[in-house]
Amino acid sequence: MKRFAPLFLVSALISLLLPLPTHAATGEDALRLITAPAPIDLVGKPGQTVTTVLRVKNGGTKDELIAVSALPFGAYQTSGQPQLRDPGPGDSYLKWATFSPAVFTAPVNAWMEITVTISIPPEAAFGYYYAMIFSRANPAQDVSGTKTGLLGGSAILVLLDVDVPGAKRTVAVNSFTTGSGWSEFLPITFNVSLKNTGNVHAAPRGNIFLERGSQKDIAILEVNSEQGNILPGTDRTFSVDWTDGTPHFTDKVVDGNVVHASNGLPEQTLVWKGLDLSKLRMGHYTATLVMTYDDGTKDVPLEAKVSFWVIPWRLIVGVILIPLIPALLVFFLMRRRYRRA
Amino acid sequence: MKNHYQGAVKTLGSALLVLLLVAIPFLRVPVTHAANFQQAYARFDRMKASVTGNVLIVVKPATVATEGKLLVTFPAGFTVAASPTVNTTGLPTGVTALPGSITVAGAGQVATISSVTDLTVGTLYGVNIATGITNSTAGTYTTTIATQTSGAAAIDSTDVATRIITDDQIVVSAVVPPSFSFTLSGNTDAFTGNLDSSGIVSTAGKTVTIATNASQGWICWVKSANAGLTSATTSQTIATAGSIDGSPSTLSTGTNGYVLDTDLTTDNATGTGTVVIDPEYNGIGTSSGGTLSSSFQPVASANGTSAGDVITLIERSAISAVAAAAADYTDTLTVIGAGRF
Repeated sequence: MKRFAPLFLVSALISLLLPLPTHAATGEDALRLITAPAPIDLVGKPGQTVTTVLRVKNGGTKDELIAVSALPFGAYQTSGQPQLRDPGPGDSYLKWATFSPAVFTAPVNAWMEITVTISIPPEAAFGYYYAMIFSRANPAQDVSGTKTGLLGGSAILVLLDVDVPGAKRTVAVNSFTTGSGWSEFLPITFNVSLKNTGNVHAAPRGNIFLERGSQKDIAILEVNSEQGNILPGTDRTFSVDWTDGTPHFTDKVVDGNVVHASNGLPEQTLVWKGLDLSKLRMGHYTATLVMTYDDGTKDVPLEAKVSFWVIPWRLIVGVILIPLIPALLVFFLMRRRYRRA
Repeated sequence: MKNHYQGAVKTLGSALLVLLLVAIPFLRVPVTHAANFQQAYARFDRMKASVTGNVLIVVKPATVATEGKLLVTFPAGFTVAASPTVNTTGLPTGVTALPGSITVAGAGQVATISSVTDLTVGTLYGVNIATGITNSTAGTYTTTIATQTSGAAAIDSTDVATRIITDDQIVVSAVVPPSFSFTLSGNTDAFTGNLDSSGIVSTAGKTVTIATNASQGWICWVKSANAGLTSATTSQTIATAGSIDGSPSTLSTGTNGYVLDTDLTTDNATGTGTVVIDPEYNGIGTSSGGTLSSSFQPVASANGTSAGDVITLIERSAISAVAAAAADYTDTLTVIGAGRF
């Protein structure tokens, strides 16, 4: 047995030197929550009770004690992005919402259903906006030493429309623009900035119709087809790309990821593949925006126009130079020979 | 003599009778019957009553002859258009296209495929009657497939059973709800070393991974508990640097400061969204970041779906030489993600 002792010793040393197994990012303290649906539109009347079901799944590696709570949200004035807020004095409507259950154990990979009941008081009117947030009920953090703590949460945004007389749904077009007045190749990005001047959220949708001279409806683009909402008193910009042209620029993708330049914008690459001369975009185009929204009694149209140029100047220069260069060469050679003669 | 004569007549009569019986099969006027194909079937792409669909006809000739036509006689109740169409595309493996410059005409219940060239016995031939055949009501029927010479002499013929049912398709429906997946890779983030007045120290960073099919994209907010690193033992705070003004703040060595830098780690190309880091938190290099706030601030967003975008949150801090010594400087960041409305 003694003669095997060195072997055991070497084996033990090797096992100590071997690298430890690595673990994925979802370690012991990671939190992974999958929630559905997102977002939720609810409609009720004063005095009514409305309910909806929120679903959450713990995608982590161990059971989690999860709590659900409500925070108010609005929208940033100009961007229209959701603005999460801490409750303030005017946010008493958060108390109308109750959860069943409010705290629960979420087993790994099991969907849990939480019923939200919103009791709308008789004096309620217009729009109320809830962020229903799932997070750890008892977050245990060891922040000893030089550490910061992180609390994670996943929110489902709920838009409650309390239907009362006097609800005003009005939307106006702030601007309808392209990125610049001209472009070499597609895509052309149309920015549709709308303002909700009413007192309840509204979701206009529509199309952009493109024409060039007498050619109508060269392309028809959807604007807000998924009916994203604009909250009262705020703006929201919907961006739509016209991409159906060859060649066209597209986001540069490496290993399945979009490559971003140092300015934070995606790098662009020119795609010639599938060159279709009928889709070579060139000339002066006019885009007509036609959107509608429901004001509660009828569809209200919104219209705007913008013109722009597509000038594939490098192609144009190339097309001119290809015959011009040989012609000039022949001309100069002939002239030289003529002079010699 | 008379008896002898009668016996001879009887014998002769019996012999004639036997001869007649033997000869009868040879004396019959020959009646020609078409042979069955070695194999034949009609496959209706739609078996539902009263619908029009492709009918694949497959035959394996059994008789040596020079074919000129293939006739398909559909049962009463079926409708055969005057001008059905045929093709030989998409035939099953091992089936040879019916040869010839074939044409088809419908009359009554019969679809006659003409200009067929000679078929080889034992070879499987196929042709699609692509249009012009409308099914009868539900029931069991017999369709007759036959070949003829160009002079309409029968060659092979087979009756095939045809079953028509009330409905032949199952509608598969499923719901994919809008969902939102949020993963925070840890609940603490340690600085890589002790805070030092001679340099800027950062945390290792924690990632937020977001995947969603919400068409409007996602947004992520961060709130700081103290807008600074606080020490309970010394009651000192290393306050956040700068102000929230849409651009990051740069820390100065030897001056108290604390910021949050948000790096774009992955803008997943699978999906429609493009990730944008909020300019306030889009730090440059290793010494800048956004001003932390005790109210929720957006740090990143995307404008469409994603299979897994990743941002990395890194806290950075600088201290003055007179910052009170303590081992418990800390802050807690609340990180919330949501699908946009």
